[in-house]
Order: sequence, then structure tokens, then C-alpha cells
Amino acid sequence: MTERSSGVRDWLRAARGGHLHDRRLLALLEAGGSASERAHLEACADCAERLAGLRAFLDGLRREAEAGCDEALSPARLAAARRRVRRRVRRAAGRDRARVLRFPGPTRTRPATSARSRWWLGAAAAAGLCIGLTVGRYDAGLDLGGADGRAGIAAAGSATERPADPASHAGDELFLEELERMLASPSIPALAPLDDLTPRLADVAVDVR
Amino acid sequence: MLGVPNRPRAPARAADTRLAGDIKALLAEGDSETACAQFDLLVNRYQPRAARIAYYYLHDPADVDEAVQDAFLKAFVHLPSFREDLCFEFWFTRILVNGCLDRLKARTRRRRWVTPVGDDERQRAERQTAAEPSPEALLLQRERRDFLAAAVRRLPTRQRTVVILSQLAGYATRDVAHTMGVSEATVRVHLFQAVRSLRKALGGQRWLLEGRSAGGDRALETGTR
Repeated sequence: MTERSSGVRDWLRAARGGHLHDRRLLALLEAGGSASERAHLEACADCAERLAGLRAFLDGLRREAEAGCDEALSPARLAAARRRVRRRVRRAAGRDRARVLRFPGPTRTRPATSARSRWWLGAAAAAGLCIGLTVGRYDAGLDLGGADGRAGIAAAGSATERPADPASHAGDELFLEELERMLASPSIPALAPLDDLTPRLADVAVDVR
Repeated sequence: MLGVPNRPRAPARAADTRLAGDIKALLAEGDSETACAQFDLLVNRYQPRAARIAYYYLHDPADVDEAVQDAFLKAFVHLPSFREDLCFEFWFTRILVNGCLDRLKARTRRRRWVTPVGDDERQRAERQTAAEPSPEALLLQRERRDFLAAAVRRLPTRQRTVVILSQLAGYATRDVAHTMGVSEATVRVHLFQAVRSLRKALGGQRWLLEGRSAGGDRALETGTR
């Protein structure tokens, strides 16, 4: 603190009736202030009281904030967070590389370069084809019983044409019988307009034709 | 003098800065294993303080964890560009504070478009699990802290940073000035304005002034003295 600024401060203080500015009180709390300010505080009960009030307020502010912080950030939580930081730092440094899983799919084969390997490749493919055809024929004959089996397949193809179920046929008959009985029954006069609006089966049949 | 929380001393800061320089050299040599081991020391030393600072900004433990992790990671990744004539602690704190401010901005943007679901419930549940006092006392405590946090949150960004660093994290005015890249006089002005606003906002809160002398409220009420 320079002498000049101290002199200006003293002059300003005198202009305020000798009291310290709040800004100076804050600085006093941190750094202790100049000798003249300290002397003033000892002599001035008003400024000393304001300083005490300011100290109490800031202490309360800090106390409450720290208590909230302590409650939210437990030592266990901090330790876990520290471990995560270390892990991430190691990963960033490239020491602890993340494993990359291969995407499932066809693997790339190296193309054969020599003429001899190409010849073997062709021969192996032809042999595989022959073996496959032979085994396929044998397997089909074994499972389906040769010609009988093929006939079975043909029969299965026409299996969609099912024979009529006698029970459902009887049900249909009953339904139609009930319908005819209802049509033959005497009509209710109140429902006659509705009946007139309803299209007749015969009319519909004529239209379709 | 205020009973500020344990402030790191200058020799410790100088040692940490030297350590950061050593890590930078190790990284340049390609010895990342030793560099990581050395960086662990810095993580151990600064993580609790960093978590507190982040909490004063974010008030959400999950966000705090992420912000602190990101700050350490950013510091490690950018260590090759660290200037050893600067203090590592101030450099790191600046990274952390900027990260927290970015997160707050992102949170505000998110809240503007998305309706938050279950945030309050989750925070309440977290608090209740750690709570021992009665439900009434807990409720009162929570209200007080929410009120306090809201008052700090309403401060302009620079004033808030000054209050958090100087009053809550316990940095000296000079350290806050270094961290923020402003002069000490600017820090004092911001602190004065911030404390005045806080006293206006929290003036009626008797619980905050427990043990104060009578008439203490008069200071900073007008700011004209």
C-alpha cells in the first residue's frame, strides 16, 4: 500500500465523518488494513460493530455453504470420483486402451498369390460340390423314402384343399333355418319403415347379376 | 482475519507447479506411465478443493463429479502447453471454473427446452439418505441452503466467481486475481458489490448471522459509507 493511496483514503474517511468505507472493512477482514485504520477501529465503536457484523455474515455464509457441500460430497464419493479421474487420465495417455470388439461379419481372406494354391483351391471347390450333391441326393432319399417321399411332397402341396367339416356344415344349416323362421314370423308394425329401408336379398342378387 | 479454510501455501504451490513441469517433460519424452503416476499426486491434492468449488457452482453431486473429471482430464491433455512460469493451481482452477460456467450455460439452455423430470426428487432422496435430524430440521436446513445457493446463483458471473473463490474456497484476493486474470482492485470491487447484493438478499435471514453483534446489519446495506 503506497503512502499516497493511504493519504487519499484518510482524506475520504474524514469526508465521511471519519468512518471507514465498507470496501475497506472487507479489505481489513482479509489483510488487516493500515495502522491508521486499525487505530480508528479501536477508537470507533460504530466501525468496529460494522466490521463484526460483516465478519459474522461472511462466516455464516461460509459455514452454511461448507455444510451443504460436506453433506453432498462424502469422502466415499470423492474417492470414487478420484478413481474415475485416474482411469480417464490413463485412457487419455494411451496406457489403458479401451478394448475394441470386432464387429461380427465375414472375415477378409488373403487372396492367393501363387498358381499352385489357386489350382488347389479350384480342385477343393469342385470336390466339395460333388460330395455335397451326392450326400444331398442320398439324404433326400433317406428322409422321404425316394419316389414315395416325392409323392408325399406333392400330396402335402394339395393339403390346403381340406374336406368339409360335418359339424360346421350342420351349424350353417341351423343358422339358415333360423333366418327363414324369423323372416316368416309376423312383422311388428312399428318396425315396418325400417323393414322397408332394408334391401331385400332378392334385389341384391338381381343387382349382382 | 477470517477463518478461511486451509489455503495452500506458496511453497506447496511452487512444488506443484514444478511437478506439473516434470509431468510435461515426461509426456514429451513419451513416458506416459510415470507421467500418469505423477499426475495422480496432483489429483489427490486438488480433487477435494476442486469438488467444493464445482459444488458451489453446480449444486448437483453428479454434475460436480463430471465437471471435476473433465477439468483434470483437460489439464492433463493440455499439460504440454502449460507455461511453467504460471502457477499450476491457478491454471487448473481457471479450467475448472470455465468448465462449471459452461455446464451452467448448458443446463440453462436445456431447461429452456426440456422439462426437468425427477431432478428435485433425486436430490431430495440423496439428501434424505444422508440425513440424521428430524424431517422438520432437515426441511429447514434445506430451505436455508437453497435460499443461500439461489442468492449466490443470482449474482453476475464475475461477482459469483469472486465470492466462491475468495469467500467459500478461501483464496486470497491476489490468488483470485491471478486465477481470473484481472487486477486485485477489480476483485475487491466485485467482492464488495457481491457482498452488498448478498446482504440485501439474505438480510432477513437471522440464522446466517448467529453470534453477530447488534447493529451489524448496518454495514454494506447502503454501500455509501
